[in-house]
Amino acid sequence: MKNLDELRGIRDEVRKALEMRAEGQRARIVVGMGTCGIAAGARETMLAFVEALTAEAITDVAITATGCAGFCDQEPLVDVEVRGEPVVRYGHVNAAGARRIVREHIVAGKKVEALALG
Amino acid sequence: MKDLSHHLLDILENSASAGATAACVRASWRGTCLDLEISDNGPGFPARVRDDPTDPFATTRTDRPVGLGLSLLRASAEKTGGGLEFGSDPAGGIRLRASLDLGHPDAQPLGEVEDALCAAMLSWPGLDLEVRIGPDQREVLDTRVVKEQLDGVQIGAPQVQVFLRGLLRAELAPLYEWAAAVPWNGGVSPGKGGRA
Repeated sequence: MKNLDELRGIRDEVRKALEMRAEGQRARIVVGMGTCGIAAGARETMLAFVEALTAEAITDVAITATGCAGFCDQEPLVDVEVRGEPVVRYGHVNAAGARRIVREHIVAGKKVEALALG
Repeated sequence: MKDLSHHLLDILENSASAGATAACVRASWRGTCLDLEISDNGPGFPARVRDDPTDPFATTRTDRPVGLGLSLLRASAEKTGGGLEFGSDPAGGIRLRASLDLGHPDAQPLGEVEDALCAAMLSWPGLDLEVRIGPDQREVLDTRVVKEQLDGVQIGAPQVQVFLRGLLRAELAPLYEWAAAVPWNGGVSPGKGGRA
């Protein structure tokens, strides 16, 4: 491996951003990454979340994964857990859906009804 | 799975959910053939599936009696005239090797390997990854080294992942260059990796 000098710079930036927020993570985005999710495009969805959060310079939202939830036909499934609010489950979330969720739900605080399940 | 890199992610998911804390991915090639070897330090295949880990009806899943991951990879390998072999790792985990002829008309494209690795780091930050490629088995990723540099900052932080994705894309260049030179391949270079 090489070029890790730059990584140390990014580490310091992330750490600085974290230190500025005493209250910790604002939200958690959980992507279904079982075989069904992966086959349906969950990887692209997850990386779209990474790009969208980075583009918005958001550092207090964690992206994580879960296994198959049993709704394979609705994959890629995404749960958005904003602190202090009920979990919203989204289905068929592609890369464009991920960008929309970041813009509308994470940034503007409004659930994306068109993608929400139940 | 639309390309081989998605199979890789799926196999790493198996390792992570079996409780492995480290996995090693080795890619090597000769002619038009790719060998993809994945090993981990998990508990290995349980007795229930050991006879044929690719049997979709022999699964460790508890919620339903069908598991598709390894059977899909086996099918992808066999349709190119290759196959999937299993062994056990000295460390106790699984060791599997998929051999594929990327020059075969039925071969899937390679896809974006760096995206599979980034999704794995995001999804299972506790699973350390070591990736080696090429005839010299050059190391392109060792998450233990990355974590050491990060010194407590999460490897899944989006800013960290954007950086690692770019770094890996460059480090994987020899693999992409080889695959791009294989006649009849569905498109392998980063950014156009497959039939999206």
